[in-house]
Amino acid sequence: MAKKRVLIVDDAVFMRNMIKDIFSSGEYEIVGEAANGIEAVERYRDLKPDLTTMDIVMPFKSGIEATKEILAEDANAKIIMCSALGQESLVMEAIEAGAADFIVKPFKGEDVIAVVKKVLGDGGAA
Amino acid sequence: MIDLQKYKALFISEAREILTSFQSELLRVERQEAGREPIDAMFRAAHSLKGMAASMGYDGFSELAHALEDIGSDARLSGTMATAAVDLMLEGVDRLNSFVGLIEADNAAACFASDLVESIRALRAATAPATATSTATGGPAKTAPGDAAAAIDTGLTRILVCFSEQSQAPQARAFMLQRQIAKQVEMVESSPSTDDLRQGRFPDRRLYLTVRVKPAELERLLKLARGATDVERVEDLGPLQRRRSDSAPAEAESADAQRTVRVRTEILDEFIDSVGELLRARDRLRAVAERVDLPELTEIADEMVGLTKDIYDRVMAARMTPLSLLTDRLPRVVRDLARKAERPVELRIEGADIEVDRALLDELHSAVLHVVRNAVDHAHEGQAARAAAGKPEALTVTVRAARDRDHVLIEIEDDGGGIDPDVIRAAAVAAGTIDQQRAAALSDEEALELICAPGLSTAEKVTDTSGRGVGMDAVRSTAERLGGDLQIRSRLGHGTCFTLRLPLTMAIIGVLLVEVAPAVFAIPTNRVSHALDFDAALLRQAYGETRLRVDEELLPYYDLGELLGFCREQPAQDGTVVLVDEQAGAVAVRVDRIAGLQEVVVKPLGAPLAMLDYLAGAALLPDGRPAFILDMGKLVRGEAVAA
Repeated sequence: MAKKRVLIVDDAVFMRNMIKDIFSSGEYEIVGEAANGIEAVERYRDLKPDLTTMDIVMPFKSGIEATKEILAEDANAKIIMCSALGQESLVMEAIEAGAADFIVKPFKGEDVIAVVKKVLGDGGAA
Repeated sequence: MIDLQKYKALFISEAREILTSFQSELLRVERQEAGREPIDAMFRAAHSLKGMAASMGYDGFSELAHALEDIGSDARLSGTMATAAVDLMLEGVDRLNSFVGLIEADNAAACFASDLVESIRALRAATAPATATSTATGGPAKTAPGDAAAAIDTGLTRILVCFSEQSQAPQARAFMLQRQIAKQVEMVESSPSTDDLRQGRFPDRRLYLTVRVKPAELERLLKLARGATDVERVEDLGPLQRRRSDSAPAEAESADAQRTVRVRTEILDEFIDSVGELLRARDRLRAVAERVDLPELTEIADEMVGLTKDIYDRVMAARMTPLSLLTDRLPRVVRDLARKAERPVELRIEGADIEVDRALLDELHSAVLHVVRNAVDHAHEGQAARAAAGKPEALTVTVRAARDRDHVLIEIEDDGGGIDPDVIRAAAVAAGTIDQQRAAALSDEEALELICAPGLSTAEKVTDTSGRGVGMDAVRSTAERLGGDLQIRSRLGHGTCFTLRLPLTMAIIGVLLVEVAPAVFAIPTNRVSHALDFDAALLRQAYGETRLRVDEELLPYYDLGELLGFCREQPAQDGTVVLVDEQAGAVAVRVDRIAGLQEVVVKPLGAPLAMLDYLAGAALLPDGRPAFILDMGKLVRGEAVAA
């Protein structure tokens, strides 16, 4: 089975590395990273990943804006929002905009993978 | 931070309302009426209360409501409720009611019921095996068969989704699930609503969804919910059923609920006051119009008359409240009394949907309660006597409301032993209310009236022998104060019927009570602008009449006593002057004394007093004295009485 291609968007290198580690199981391939919303939209366009993890609060363009733009170009984009505690209203906004799911920092690896599987699985099954 | 204080009043009024219906649903559950529906309603009531209290931070309240919800949840699973559970529930409702009082008195911290919560836990633990089996399987809770013939499947199913305590973002999780479900099936209702969730209101991590699904879709839906992130438990609460008789208005009802808002009664009262102001402004406008001779302006002023009247009528209509608000509390009272008295009593309520003025309802409550209480306490003639008379074991007390043109009749009827007029006569004589001779001369109807005589009201003898009379004078005076009356009919061996006849609407106005020895009169406060000490030295003769100097003006001056034709030996030297605004401008009216401000119910006058056009009506003062309400304009213009 082909590896799932993942784009990681976060303005903190620390967070990107952590997410990379979570995806290091072999089923996934990190195809790219972006550190802000503008970059995220560009990288998505170039890479067409199977999955994008998207931080919400980022410089230049928020994760929500970026999500909206990506979905406008590719309605099938699977975007998982990465939020922090206390950002529930932003998460709801993102979900309304079409984000597939979300995870809450601090992450636990298995929780993240569970959400990812669900998002990718739903695409195939339903 | 949201200022919770501003929601307090709303919380209080809504909690009271929910508690009232909670209680009536409970009693229906106890009577095992109509299967699931009352259990569901009761459960929802507990659930709403819990959520409301939690959002307000009333932890003790919310904790108790939660415990009650748990009982309700067990009942939903088993389809029935044991008497012990009903008792605990009722106690809980009482406690919550008293909590509302505490909250109203800004003492929410005193809401504390761990003892009761503990008892509830103990009860649930004791009955756990029965319910545990159905929850332990994790499968959908079984729907109680209920009264299948009388129930109509609405095609709606309710689902409960509980999110884990560990969930870091339960609102957003619930929000997401709502959206996913709404994409697949028709979601009729969600509690909390999407907006609630958006605003962070998700106090107990429980999401109740009402969806329209076919049985086949339901399984898929439950699976979706169970598989959702952070979901701990999903319950199928079964199809939403309505009793046949309720099915028609069901849709309309929910549509109605969405189109109504809650308004504090005081706001409506203020509305009426404002309409009064509007009337005055209109009068002044019209006076100006006439003075400057502008017909167009007069026309506008006349148009305002109609509009103002319209507003008044609509506000009065908005004040109308169904009697059920009162009668819904009766089953509980009757239940408790009947239990205490150890006599079976059946309560019937008819015509609870009749609407009456809210103010009337408030006043009426204690009067009706009183009569009902008396009936339960005293009308039952004993098992043997009832059996001998071929009556059923339970005493039937019927509270019946009916409209009679612009009046409402409220009858409280029992099929008990009736009141013996001779016993009343004897008791009245013994109490010194009436002498032997007059007592003997009274007709039976007149003798019955005696139970409303104040002297007799507390007489033990009457209570014990005939079983009536406690505080009946209070009931009658309430009826009269509200512009109505009380009639009593009784047939020995057949029962008694009390009929309260009251006006549907009440005009309530604020009045200034003024004393002109030896009487008290009322002047509508919206006419009064000032009151000041009378000083005879400020009287002037001008324009051929007596005027009083007030500030820089010379106002037409009248002595109310003289206007009303009271004899006076010499002109008054002291007293108080009330400045009354009339169409033609302010006038100064001297009275002996101001006796106070009062809100009164205006009673129309009958003939021949109605012919005196300067009397706008009459009011009964709280101390029982009547006072005429004066139309000062007409009184002054006519200066009629002295002649």
